[in-house]
Amino acid sequence: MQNLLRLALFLLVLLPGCALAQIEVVMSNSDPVVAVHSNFRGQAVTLFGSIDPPPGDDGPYDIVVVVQGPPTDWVVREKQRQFGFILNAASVRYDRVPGYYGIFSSRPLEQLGLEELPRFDLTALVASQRTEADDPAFDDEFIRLMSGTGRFSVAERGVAMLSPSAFSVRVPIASNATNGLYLARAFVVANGEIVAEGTTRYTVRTQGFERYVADLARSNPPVYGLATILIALAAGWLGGVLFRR
Amino acid sequence: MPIYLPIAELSVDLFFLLGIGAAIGFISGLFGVGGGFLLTPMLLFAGVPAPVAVASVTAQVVASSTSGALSYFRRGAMDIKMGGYLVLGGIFGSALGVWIFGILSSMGQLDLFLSLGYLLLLGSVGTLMFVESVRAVLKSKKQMTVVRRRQPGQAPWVQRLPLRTRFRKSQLYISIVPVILIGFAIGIIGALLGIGGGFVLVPALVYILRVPGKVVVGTSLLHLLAVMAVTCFLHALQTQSVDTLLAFCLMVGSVAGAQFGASAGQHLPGERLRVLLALLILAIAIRFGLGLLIAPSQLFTLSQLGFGEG
Repeated sequence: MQNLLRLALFLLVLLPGCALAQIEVVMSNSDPVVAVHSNFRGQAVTLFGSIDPPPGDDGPYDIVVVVQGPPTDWVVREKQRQFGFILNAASVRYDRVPGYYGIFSSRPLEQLGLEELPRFDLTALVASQRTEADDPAFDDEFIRLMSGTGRFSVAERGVAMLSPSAFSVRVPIASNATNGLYLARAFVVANGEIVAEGTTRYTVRTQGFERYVADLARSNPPVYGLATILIALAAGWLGGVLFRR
Repeated sequence: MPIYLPIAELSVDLFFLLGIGAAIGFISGLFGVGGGFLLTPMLLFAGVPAPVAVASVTAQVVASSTSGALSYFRRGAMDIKMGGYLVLGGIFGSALGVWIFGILSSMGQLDLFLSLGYLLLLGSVGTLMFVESVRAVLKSKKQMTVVRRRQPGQAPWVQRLPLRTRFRKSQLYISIVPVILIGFAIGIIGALLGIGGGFVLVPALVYILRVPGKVVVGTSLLHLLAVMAVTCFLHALQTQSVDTLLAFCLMVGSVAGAQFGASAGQHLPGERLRVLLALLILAIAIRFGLGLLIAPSQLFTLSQLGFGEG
Protein backbone atom coordinates (compact mmCIF):
# COMPACT_ATOMS: atom_id res chain seq x y z
CA MET A 1 0.00 0.00 0.00
CA GLN A 2 2.76 2.39 0.94
CA ASN A 3 4.69 1.36 -2.12
CA LEU A 4 1.71 2.00 -4.31
CA LEU A 5 1.30 5.47 -2.84
CA ARG A 6 4.98 6.18 -3.41
CA LEU A 7 4.70 5.11 -7.00
CA ALA A 8 1.63 7.28 -7.54
CA LEU A 9 3.43 10.28 -6.02
CA PHE A 10 6.50 9.55 -8.08
CA LEU A 11 4.46 9.42 -11.27
CA LEU A 12 2.57 12.57 -10.38
CA VAL A 13 5.78 14.54 -9.90
CA LEU A 14 7.73 13.05 -12.75
CA LEU A 15 5.30 12.53 -15.58
CA PRO A 16 4.52 16.12 -16.57
CA GLY A 17 8.23 16.89 -16.48
CA CYS A 18 8.93 13.78 -18.51
CA ALA A 19 6.34 14.71 -21.04
CA LEU A 20 7.85 18.20 -21.44
CA ALA A 21 11.36 16.91 -21.77
CA GLN A 22 10.47 14.11 -24.09
CA ILE A 23 8.41 15.87 -26.73
CA GLU A 24 10.58 16.86 -29.63
CA VAL A 25 9.80 18.47 -32.91
CA VAL A 26 12.04 17.98 -35.91
CA MET A 27 11.74 20.21 -38.96
CA SER A 28 13.04 20.11 -42.46
CA ASN A 29 12.28 21.91 -45.67
CA SER A 30 11.85 21.24 -49.35
CA ASP A 31 14.47 23.76 -50.57
CA PRO A 32 17.39 24.82 -48.36
CA VAL A 33 18.24 27.42 -50.99
CA VAL A 34 15.34 28.98 -52.85
CA ALA A 35 16.30 30.65 -56.12
CA VAL A 36 13.64 33.14 -57.08
CA HIS A 37 13.68 34.46 -60.61
CA SER A 38 12.54 38.03 -60.57
CA ASN A 39 10.26 37.66 -63.56
CA PHE A 40 8.25 34.89 -61.92
CA ARG A 41 5.30 35.78 -59.82
CA GLY A 42 6.72 34.06 -56.79
CA GLN A 43 6.84 30.57 -55.42
CA ALA A 44 6.75 28.71 -52.13
CA VAL A 45 8.92 26.64 -49.87
CA THR A 46 7.38 23.72 -47.99
CA LEU A 47 8.46 23.00 -44.44
CA PHE A 48 7.91 19.60 -42.85
CA GLY A 49 7.87 18.72 -39.21
CA SER A 50 7.40 15.72 -37.02
CA ILE A 51 6.52 15.54 -33.33
CA ASP A 52 8.04 12.79 -31.28
CA PRO A 53 6.42 11.00 -29.50
CA PRO A 54 2.94 11.19 -31.04
CA PRO A 55 0.24 12.67 -28.80
CA GLY A 56 -1.41 10.31 -26.36
CA ASP A 57 -4.96 10.32 -25.12
CA ASP A 58 -4.91 13.92 -23.87
CA GLY A 59 -5.79 15.23 -27.28
CA PRO A 60 -4.03 16.30 -30.46
CA TYR A 61 -1.22 18.85 -30.50
CA ASP A 62 -1.48 22.17 -32.22
CA ILE A 63 1.36 23.68 -34.19
CA VAL A 64 2.29 27.29 -34.69
CA VAL A 65 5.04 28.04 -37.20
CA VAL A 66 6.67 31.49 -37.30
CA VAL A 67 8.84 32.34 -40.29
CA GLN A 68 11.08 35.36 -40.06
CA GLY A 69 13.13 36.96 -42.84
CA PRO A 70 16.13 39.31 -42.73
CA PRO A 71 15.64 42.72 -41.09
CA THR A 72 14.63 45.74 -43.16
CA ASP A 73 13.91 49.42 -42.46
CA TRP A 74 10.70 51.13 -43.54
CA VAL A 75 8.99 54.50 -43.57
CA VAL A 76 5.22 54.91 -43.59
CA ARG A 77 4.04 58.29 -44.82
CA GLU A 78 0.61 59.81 -44.59
CA LYS A 79 -0.72 62.31 -47.11
CA GLN A 80 -2.61 65.24 -45.68
CA ARG A 81 -4.02 68.45 -47.05
CA GLN A 82 -1.79 71.35 -46.14
CA PHE A 83 -1.93 74.84 -47.66
CA GLY A 84 -4.57 73.38 -49.99
CA PHE A 85 -2.17 70.78 -51.40
CA ILE A 86 -2.11 67.06 -50.83
CA LEU A 87 1.34 66.23 -49.55
CA ASN A 88 3.22 63.73 -47.43
CA ALA A 89 2.84 65.29 -44.01
CA ALA A 90 3.45 62.75 -41.27
CA SER A 91 5.83 59.82 -41.30
CA VAL A 92 6.86 57.04 -38.93
CA ARG A 93 9.94 54.86 -39.20
CA TYR A 94 10.11 51.16 -38.45
CA ASP A 95 13.64 49.84 -38.06
CA ARG A 96 14.83 46.25 -38.32
CA VAL A 97 11.43 44.81 -39.13
CA PRO A 98 11.68 41.30 -40.58
CA GLY A 99 11.46 41.59 -44.36
CA TYR A 100 9.10 38.64 -44.12
CA TYR A 101 7.04 37.59 -41.12
CA GLY A 102 4.61 34.73 -41.42
CA ILE A 103 2.49 33.22 -38.68
CA PHE A 104 0.98 29.87 -39.56
CA SER A 105 -1.08 27.77 -37.22
CA SER A 106 -3.05 24.56 -37.36
CA ARG A 107 -6.04 26.29 -35.77
CA PRO A 108 -6.93 29.94 -35.21
CA LEU A 109 -4.61 31.26 -32.51
CA GLU A 110 -7.47 32.32 -30.21
CA GLN A 111 -8.61 28.71 -29.97
CA LEU A 112 -5.21 27.52 -28.74
CA GLY A 113 -5.60 29.21 -25.37
CA LEU A 114 -2.10 30.66 -25.51
CA GLU A 115 -1.36 33.68 -23.40
CA GLU A 116 -0.53 36.81 -25.40
CA LEU A 117 2.88 36.30 -26.99
CA PRO A 118 4.51 39.07 -29.04
CA ARG A 119 5.99 36.58 -31.48
CA PHE A 120 2.49 35.47 -32.49
CA ASP A 121 1.14 38.99 -32.76
CA LEU A 122 1.99 41.29 -35.67
CA THR A 123 0.72 44.36 -33.83
CA ALA A 124 3.07 43.77 -30.93
CA LEU A 125 5.96 42.98 -33.26
CA VAL A 126 5.45 46.16 -35.26
CA ALA A 127 4.96 48.29 -32.16
CA SER A 128 8.28 47.10 -30.76
CA GLN A 129 10.15 48.18 -33.91
CA ARG A 130 8.58 51.63 -34.19
CA THR A 131 11.20 54.35 -33.68
CA GLU A 132 8.82 57.17 -32.75
CA ALA A 133 7.59 55.60 -29.55
CA ASP A 134 4.41 57.56 -28.98
CA ASP A 135 2.44 57.29 -32.20
CA PRO A 136 0.81 53.87 -32.64
CA ALA A 137 -1.67 55.18 -35.23
CA PHE A 138 0.55 54.05 -38.12
CA ASP A 139 0.98 50.45 -36.95
CA ASP A 140 -2.23 49.15 -38.48
CA GLU A 141 -1.49 50.88 -41.78
CA PHE A 142 2.04 49.49 -41.76
CA ILE A 143 0.74 45.94 -41.20
CA ARG A 144 -1.88 46.41 -43.91
CA LEU A 145 0.68 47.71 -46.45
CA MET A 146 3.19 44.96 -45.60
CA SER A 147 0.48 42.31 -45.87
CA GLY A 148 -0.56 43.78 -49.21
CA THR A 149 2.88 43.14 -50.68
CA GLY A 150 3.06 39.65 -49.17
CA ARG A 151 5.71 40.56 -46.62
CA PHE A 152 3.49 39.80 -43.65
CA SER A 153 1.18 36.84 -43.72
CA VAL A 154 -1.04 35.26 -41.15
CA ALA A 155 -2.62 31.93 -42.08
CA GLU A 156 -4.86 30.56 -39.35
CA ARG A 157 -5.01 27.13 -40.92
CA GLY A 158 -1.71 27.35 -42.74
CA VAL A 159 -0.24 24.34 -40.94
CA ALA A 160 -1.59 21.10 -42.36
CA MET A 161 -1.60 18.15 -39.98
CA LEU A 162 -0.64 15.16 -42.12
CA SER A 163 -1.06 12.82 -39.17
CA PRO A 164 -1.41 13.45 -35.42
CA SER A 165 2.39 13.85 -35.29
CA ALA A 166 3.40 15.11 -38.73
CA PHE A 167 2.69 18.50 -40.26
CA SER A 168 3.63 20.64 -43.21
CA VAL A 169 3.54 24.37 -43.97
CA ARG A 170 3.68 26.05 -47.33
CA VAL A 171 5.44 29.41 -46.99
CA PRO A 172 4.94 31.72 -49.96
CA ILE A 173 7.93 33.63 -51.32
CA ALA A 174 7.10 36.77 -53.25
CA SER A 175 9.23 37.79 -56.22
CA ASN A 176 10.29 40.92 -54.31
CA ALA A 177 11.39 38.88 -51.27
CA THR A 178 14.37 40.21 -49.37
CA ASN A 179 17.41 38.02 -49.95
CA GLY A 180 18.95 36.29 -47.00
CA LEU A 181 18.45 33.72 -44.31
CA TYR A 182 14.91 32.84 -43.26
CA LEU A 183 14.37 31.21 -39.88
CA ALA A 184 11.31 29.03 -39.30
CA ARG A 185 10.38 28.06 -35.75
CA ALA A 186 7.71 25.49 -34.99
CA PHE A 187 5.98 25.55 -31.62
CA VAL A 188 4.05 22.56 -30.35
CA VAL A 189 1.08 23.67 -28.29
CA ALA A 190 -0.75 21.41 -25.88
CA ASN A 191 -3.36 22.62 -23.39
CA GLY A 192 -2.53 26.25 -23.96
CA GLU A 193 1.19 25.83 -23.39
CA ILE A 194 4.18 25.56 -25.65
CA VAL A 195 5.65 22.15 -24.96
CA ALA A 196 8.31 21.93 -27.66
CA GLU A 197 10.13 24.07 -30.17
CA GLY A 198 12.06 23.21 -33.32
CA THR A 199 13.74 25.28 -36.02
CA THR A 200 14.81 25.06 -39.61
CA ARG A 201 16.23 27.66 -41.95
CA TYR A 202 16.43 28.33 -45.64
CA THR A 203 18.08 30.91 -47.84
CA VAL A 204 16.24 33.00 -50.42
CA ARG A 205 18.30 34.20 -53.32
CA THR A 206 16.79 35.94 -56.32
CA GLN A 207 18.57 35.17 -59.55
CA GLY A 208 18.46 36.00 -63.19
CA PHE A 209 19.52 38.88 -65.39
CA GLU A 210 17.31 41.42 -63.63
CA ARG A 211 18.89 40.51 -60.31
CA TYR A 212 22.34 40.94 -61.81
CA VAL A 213 21.39 44.42 -63.00
CA ALA A 214 20.02 45.38 -59.58
CA ASP A 215 23.09 44.00 -57.80
CA LEU A 216 25.46 45.87 -60.08
CA ALA A 217 23.53 49.11 -59.53
CA ARG A 218 24.00 48.72 -55.78
CA SER A 219 27.48 47.23 -55.62
CA ASN A 220 29.28 49.19 -58.32
CA PRO A 221 27.41 52.39 -59.19
CA PRO A 222 30.20 53.99 -61.30
CA VAL A 223 30.45 50.99 -63.62
CA TYR A 224 26.66 50.72 -63.77
CA GLY A 225 26.30 54.41 -64.63
CA LEU A 226 28.98 54.30 -67.31
CA ALA A 227 27.51 51.13 -68.82
CA THR A 228 24.08 52.78 -68.97
CA ILE A 229 25.51 55.83 -70.73
CA LEU A 230 27.38 53.64 -73.23
CA ILE A 231 24.20 51.66 -73.96
CA ALA A 232 22.32 54.92 -74.47
CA LEU A 233 24.98 56.31 -76.82
CA ALA A 234 25.13 53.05 -78.77
CA ALA A 235 21.33 52.86 -79.07
CA GLY A 236 21.12 56.46 -80.23
CA TRP A 237 23.92 56.08 -82.74
CA LEU A 238 22.57 52.78 -84.05
CA GLY A 239 19.11 54.27 -84.43
CA GLY A 240 20.55 57.12 -86.47
CA VAL A 241 22.45 54.70 -88.71
CA LEU A 242 19.58 52.22 -89.16
CA PHE A 243 16.90 54.77 -89.91
CA ARG A 244 18.96 57.31 -91.81
CA ARG A 245 16.85 58.72 -94.57
CA MET B 1 4.62 40.16 -72.19
CA PRO B 2 5.57 41.30 -68.69
CA ILE B 3 9.09 42.45 -68.04
CA TYR B 4 10.49 42.91 -64.57
CA LEU B 5 12.22 46.24 -63.99
CA PRO B 6 14.92 45.48 -61.41
CA ILE B 7 15.39 48.97 -59.96
CA ALA B 8 11.75 50.04 -60.12
CA GLU B 9 10.87 46.58 -58.67
CA LEU B 10 7.85 46.48 -60.87
CA SER B 11 6.50 44.22 -63.59
CA VAL B 12 5.43 46.18 -66.65
CA ASP B 13 4.28 45.04 -70.04
CA LEU B 14 7.15 45.25 -72.53
CA PHE B 15 4.91 46.47 -75.33
CA PHE B 16 3.56 49.23 -73.11
CA LEU B 17 7.10 50.55 -72.64
CA LEU B 18 8.00 50.20 -76.31
CA GLY B 19 4.66 51.81 -77.17
CA ILE B 20 5.03 54.93 -75.05
CA GLY B 21 8.68 55.13 -76.15
CA ALA B 22 7.58 55.02 -79.78
CA ALA B 23 4.68 57.44 -79.29
CA ILE B 24 6.84 60.00 -77.54
CA GLY B 25 9.68 59.41 -80.00
CA PHE B 26 7.21 60.09 -82.81
CA ILE B 27 6.07 63.33 -81.18
CA SER B 28 9.64 64.42 -80.54
CA GLY B 29 10.61 63.68 -84.15
CA LEU B 30 7.51 65.46 -85.42
CA PHE B 31 8.05 68.66 -83.46
CA GLY B 32 11.79 68.53 -82.89
CA VAL B 33 11.41 68.47 -79.12
CA GLY B 34 13.32 66.26 -76.70
CA GLY B 35 10.43 64.27 -75.28
CA GLY B 36 11.72 63.94 -71.72
CA PHE B 37 9.08 66.36 -70.49
CA LEU B 38 6.39 64.02 -71.85
CA LEU B 39 8.07 60.73 -71.02
CA THR B 40 8.74 61.33 -67.31
CA PRO B 41 5.08 62.28 -66.61
CA MET B 42 3.88 59.22 -68.54
CA LEU B 43 6.08 56.94 -66.42
CA LEU B 44 4.90 58.66 -63.23
CA PHE B 45 1.26 58.17 -64.27
CA ALA B 46 2.01 54.51 -65.07
CA GLY B 47 3.10 53.96 -61.48
CA VAL B 48 6.89 53.95 -61.88
CA PRO B 49 8.40 55.34 -58.64
CA ALA B 50 9.38 59.01 -59.08
CA PRO B 51 13.16 58.62 -58.50
CA VAL B 52 13.34 55.77 -61.02
CA ALA B 53 11.27 57.62 -63.63
CA VAL B 54 13.38 60.78 -63.44
CA ALA B 55 16.76 59.02 -63.33
CA SER B 56 15.97 56.55 -66.10
CA VAL B 57 14.64 59.16 -68.50
CA THR B 58 18.04 60.91 -68.36
CA ALA B 59 19.53 57.83 -70.04
CA GLN B 60 16.73 57.83 -72.60
CA VAL B 61 17.41 61.51 -73.41
CA VAL B 62 21.08 60.65 -74.03
CA ALA B 63 20.01 58.05 -76.57
CA SER B 64 17.43 60.23 -78.29
CA SER B 65 19.78 63.22 -78.63
CA THR B 66 22.81 61.23 -79.86
CA SER B 67 21.86 60.77 -83.49
CA GLY B 68 20.65 64.37 -83.79
CA ALA B 69 23.79 65.75 -82.19
CA LEU B 70 25.95 63.64 -84.52
CA SER B 71 24.22 64.82 -87.66
CA TYR B 72 24.39 68.51 -86.61
CA PHE B 73 28.05 68.00 -85.77
CA ARG B 74 28.80 66.53 -89.21
CA ARG B 75 27.08 69.47 -90.88
CA GLY B 76 29.07 71.86 -88.72
CA ALA B 77 25.87 73.39 -87.34
CA MET B 78 27.14 73.36 -83.77
CA ASP B 79 29.02 75.96 -81.74
CA ILE B 80 31.40 73.68 -79.85
CA LYS B 81 32.98 76.49 -77.83
CA MET B 82 29.65 77.81 -76.61
CA GLY B 83 28.47 74.24 -76.05
CA GLY B 84 31.53 73.66 -73.88
CA TYR B 85 30.72 76.61 -71.62
CA LEU B 86 27.05 75.55 -71.46
CA VAL B 87 28.06 72.03 -70.50
CA LEU B 88 30.49 73.35 -67.87
CA GLY B 89 27.63 75.23 -66.21
CA GLY B 90 25.31 72.30 -66.82
CA ILE B 91 27.55 69.84 -64.97
CA PHE B 92 27.54 72.00 -61.84
CA GLY B 93 23.79 72.52 -62.17
CA SER B 94 23.26 68.80 -62.58
CA ALA B 95 25.35 68.01 -59.49
CA LEU B 96 23.33 70.52 -57.47
CA GLY B 97 20.08 69.15 -58.91
CA VAL B 98 20.92 65.55 -58.03
CA TRP B 99 21.91 66.65 -54.51
CA ILE B 100 18.60 68.49 -54.00
CA PHE B 101 16.82 65.47 -55.51
CA GLY B 102 18.32 63.21 -52.84
CA ILE B 103 17.23 65.56 -50.05
CA LEU B 104 13.68 65.84 -51.40
CA SER B 105 13.53 62.08 -51.77
CA SER B 106 14.60 61.40 -48.18
CA MET B 107 12.12 64.01 -46.95
CA GLY B 108 9.36 62.20 -48.83
CA GLN B 109 8.49 65.36 -50.73
CA LEU B 110 9.74 64.32 -54.16
CA ASP B 111 6.25 63.65 -55.53
CA LEU B 112 5.04 67.02 -54.35
CA PHE B 113 8.04 68.77 -55.88
CA LEU B 114 7.67 66.96 -59.21
CA SER B 115 3.95 67.75 -59.37
CA LEU B 116 4.56 71.43 -58.64
CA GLY B 117 7.55 71.61 -60.99
CA TYR B 118 5.74 69.99 -63.88
CA LEU B 119 2.60 71.99 -63.24
CA LEU B 120 4.55 75.26 -63.46
CA LEU B 121 6.83 74.22 -66.31
CA LEU B 122 4.29 72.48 -68.54
CA GLY B 123 1.54 74.93 -67.63
CA SER B 124 3.56 77.94 -68.74
CA VAL B 125 5.16 76.29 -71.77
CA GLY B 126 1.82 74.81 -72.85
CA THR B 127 0.03 78.13 -72.53
CA LEU B 128 2.71 80.04 -74.45
CA MET B 129 2.81 77.38 -77.14
CA PHE B 130 -0.97 77.28 -77.42
CA VAL B 131 -1.31 81.06 -77.78
CA GLU B 132 1.54 81.24 -80.26
CA SER B 133 0.37 78.34 -82.42
CA VAL B 134 -3.26 79.47 -82.48
CA ARG B 135 -2.07 82.88 -83.58
CA ALA B 136 0.07 81.29 -86.30
CA VAL B 137 -2.84 79.17 -87.55
CA LEU B 138 -5.11 82.23 -87.68
CA LYS B 139 -2.47 84.17 -89.56
CA SER B 140 -1.95 81.45 -92.11
CA LYS B 141 -5.73 81.30 -92.63
CA LYS B 142 -5.68 84.98 -93.50
CA GLN B 143 -2.97 84.20 -96.03
CA MET B 144 -0.60 86.52 -94.28
CA THR B 145 3.02 85.67 -94.45
CA VAL B 146 4.62 85.60 -91.05
CA VAL B 147 7.11 88.42 -91.08
CA ARG B 148 10.05 87.83 -88.81
CA ARG B 149 10.99 90.96 -86.99
CA ARG B 150 14.66 91.65 -87.11
CA GLN B 151 15.93 90.63 -83.76
CA PRO B 152 17.49 93.35 -81.66
CA GLY B 153 20.76 92.83 -79.83
CA GLN B 154 21.11 91.21 -76.45
CA ALA B 155 19.53 92.63 -73.37
CA PRO B 156 21.69 95.42 -71.91
CA TRP B 157 22.62 93.44 -68.81
CA VAL B 158 24.10 90.69 -70.95
CA GLN B 159 26.38 93.16 -72.70
CA ARG B 160 27.66 94.72 -69.51
CA LEU B 161 29.01 91.46 -68.07
CA PRO B 162 32.77 90.84 -67.87
CA LEU B 163 34.83 87.95 -69.33
CA ARG B 164 33.76 88.52 -72.89
CA THR B 165 34.98 86.10 -75.47
CA ARG B 166 34.42 85.51 -79.16
CA PHE B 167 32.14 82.66 -80.28
CA ARG B 168 33.12 82.36 -83.93
CA LYS B 169 30.41 79.90 -85.04
CA SER B 170 27.66 82.01 -83.48
CA GLN B 171 29.28 85.28 -84.60
CA LEU B 172 28.92 86.63 -81.10
CA TYR B 173 31.26 88.51 -78.81
CA ILE B 174 29.69 88.07 -75.39
CA SER B 175 30.50 87.30 -71.80
CA ILE B 176 30.78 83.65 -70.79
CA VAL B 177 28.87 84.39 -67.56
CA PRO B 178 25.33 84.22 -69.00
CA VAL B 179 26.28 81.18 -71.07
CA ILE B 180 27.46 79.28 -67.98
CA LEU B 181 24.46 80.50 -65.97
CA ILE B 182 21.99 79.29 -68.60
CA GLY B 183 23.72 75.89 -68.73
CA PHE B 184 23.67 75.78 -64.93
CA ALA B 185 19.95 76.53 -64.69
CA ILE B 186 19.00 73.97 -67.35
CA GLY B 187 21.25 71.43 -65.61
CA ILE B 188 19.37 71.85 -62.32
CA ILE B 189 15.95 71.60 -63.97
CA GLY B 190 17.03 68.57 -65.99
CA ALA B 191 18.39 66.64 -63.02
CA LEU B 192 15.36 67.40 -60.86
CA LEU B 193 12.55 66.85 -63.34
CA GLY B 194 14.05 64.24 -65.67
CA ILE B 195 13.95 66.34 -68.81
CA GLY B 196 16.61 67.40 -71.30
CA GLY B 197 15.29 70.92 -71.18
CA GLY B 198 15.75 71.63 -74.89
CA PHE B 199 12.41 73.42 -75.06
CA VAL B 200 13.68 75.86 -72.43
CA LEU B 201 17.29 76.02 -73.60
CA VAL B 202 16.61 76.85 -77.25
CA PRO B 203 14.44 79.91 -76.49
CA ALA B 204 16.98 81.01 -73.85
CA LEU B 205 19.84 80.85 -76.34
CA VAL B 206 17.80 82.62 -79.00
CA TYR B 207 16.19 85.37 -76.94
CA ILE B 208 18.84 86.05 -74.30
CA LEU B 209 22.10 85.42 -76.14
CA ARG B 210 20.87 85.87 -79.74
CA VAL B 211 22.51 82.70 -80.94
CA PRO B 212 21.72 82.40 -84.67
CA GLY B 213 19.13 79.83 -85.70
CA LYS B 214 21.47 77.71 -87.78
CA VAL B 215 23.64 76.63 -84.83
CA VAL B 216 21.17 76.88 -81.93
CA VAL B 217 19.62 73.42 -82.25
CA GLY B 218 22.95 71.66 -82.68
CA THR B 219 24.49 73.50 -79.73
CA SER B 220 21.49 72.75 -77.56
CA LEU B 221 21.68 69.05 -78.51
CA LEU B 222 25.35 69.00 -77.52
CA HIS B 223 24.38 70.40 -74.11
CA LEU B 224 21.55 67.88 -73.69
CA LEU B 225 23.74 64.94 -74.62
CA ALA B 226 26.65 65.82 -72.36
CA VAL B 227 24.72 67.13 -69.37
CA MET B 228 22.16 64.31 -69.42
CA ALA B 229 24.98 61.74 -69.58
CA VAL B 230 26.59 63.37 -66.53
CA THR B 231 23.21 63.55 -64.78
CA CYS B 232 22.55 59.89 -65.49
CA PHE B 233 25.95 59.02 -64.03
CA LEU B 234 25.36 61.16 -60.92
CA HIS B 235 21.90 59.64 -60.41
CA ALA B 236 23.45 56.17 -60.70
CA LEU B 237 26.02 57.17 -58.07
CA GLN B 238 23.85 59.02 -55.61
CA THR B 239 20.22 57.96 -55.81
CA GLN B 240 20.97 54.56 -57.45
CA SER B 241 17.64 54.74 -59.19
CA VAL B 242 18.64 54.50 -62.86
CA ASP B 243 16.78 51.52 -64.27
CA THR B 244 18.81 50.50 -67.31
CA LEU B 245 16.24 47.97 -68.46
CA LEU B 246 13.46 50.56 -68.35
CA ALA B 247 15.63 53.13 -70.12
CA PHE B 248 16.63 50.62 -72.78
CA CYS B 249 13.03 49.70 -73.63
CA LEU B 250 12.16 53.39 -73.89
CA MET B 251 15.22 54.07 -76.05
CA VAL B 252 14.39 51.33 -78.53
CA GLY B 253 10.85 52.62 -78.88
CA SER B 254 11.74 56.29 -79.10
CA VAL B 255 14.73 55.98 -81.44
CA ALA B 256 12.50 54.17 -83.93
CA GLY B 257 9.50 56.43 -83.33
CA ALA B 258 11.55 59.61 -83.78
CA GLN B 259 12.57 58.65 -87.31
CA PHE B 260 8.96 58.11 -88.38
CA GLY B 261 7.93 61.28 -86.61
CA ALA B 262 10.55 63.30 -88.44
CA SER B 263 9.51 61.99 -91.86
CA ALA B 264 5.81 62.33 -91.06
CA GLY B 265 6.45 65.93 -90.04
CA GLN B 266 7.31 66.82 -93.62
CA HIS B 267 3.85 65.88 -94.86
CA LEU B 268 1.69 67.14 -92.01
CA PRO B 269 0.47 70.68 -91.30
CA GLY B 270 2.97 71.60 -88.62
CA GLU B 271 1.26 74.69 -87.22
CA ARG B 272 -2.00 72.90 -86.56
CA LEU B 273 -0.23 69.97 -84.97
CA ARG B 274 1.51 72.39 -82.64
CA VAL B 275 -1.91 73.32 -81.27
CA LEU B 276 -2.46 69.66 -80.46
CA LEU B 277 0.94 69.36 -78.80
CA ALA B 278 0.16 72.46 -76.73
CA LEU B 279 -3.15 70.89 -75.67
CA LEU B 280 -1.39 67.64 -74.75
CA ILE B 281 1.15 69.54 -72.63
CA LEU B 282 -1.64 71.49 -70.93
CA ALA B 283 -3.54 68.27 -70.26
CA ILE B 284 -0.50 66.78 -68.51
CA ALA B 285 -0.06 69.98 -66.50
CA ILE B 286 -3.73 69.80 -65.42
CA ARG B 287 -3.29 66.15 -64.46
CA PHE B 288 -0.42 67.14 -62.16
CA GLY B 289 -2.51 69.97 -60.78
CA LEU B 290 -5.41 67.62 -59.97
CA GLY B 291 -3.01 65.23 -58.26
CA LEU B 292 -2.05 68.07 -55.94
CA LEU B 293 -5.63 68.96 -55.09
CA ILE B 294 -7.58 65.71 -55.00
CA ALA B 295 -6.86 63.37 -52.14
CA PRO B 296 -6.01 59.86 -53.37
CA SER B 297 -8.00 56.88 -52.09
CA GLN B 298 -4.85 55.54 -50.51
CA LEU B 299 -3.40 58.09 -48.10
CA PHE B 300 -0.67 55.92 -46.60
CA THR B 301 2.42 54.88 -48.51
CA LEU B 302 5.22 52.55 -47.58
CA SER B 303 8.83 52.82 -48.67
CA GLN B 304 11.79 50.71 -47.82
CA LEU B 305 14.94 52.49 -46.79
CA GLY B 306 17.92 51.47 -48.86
CA PHE B 307 21.56 51.46 -47.92
CA GLY B 308 22.60 54.72 -46.28
CA GLU B 309 19.16 56.30 -46.41
CA GLY B 310 17.36 58.00 -43.58
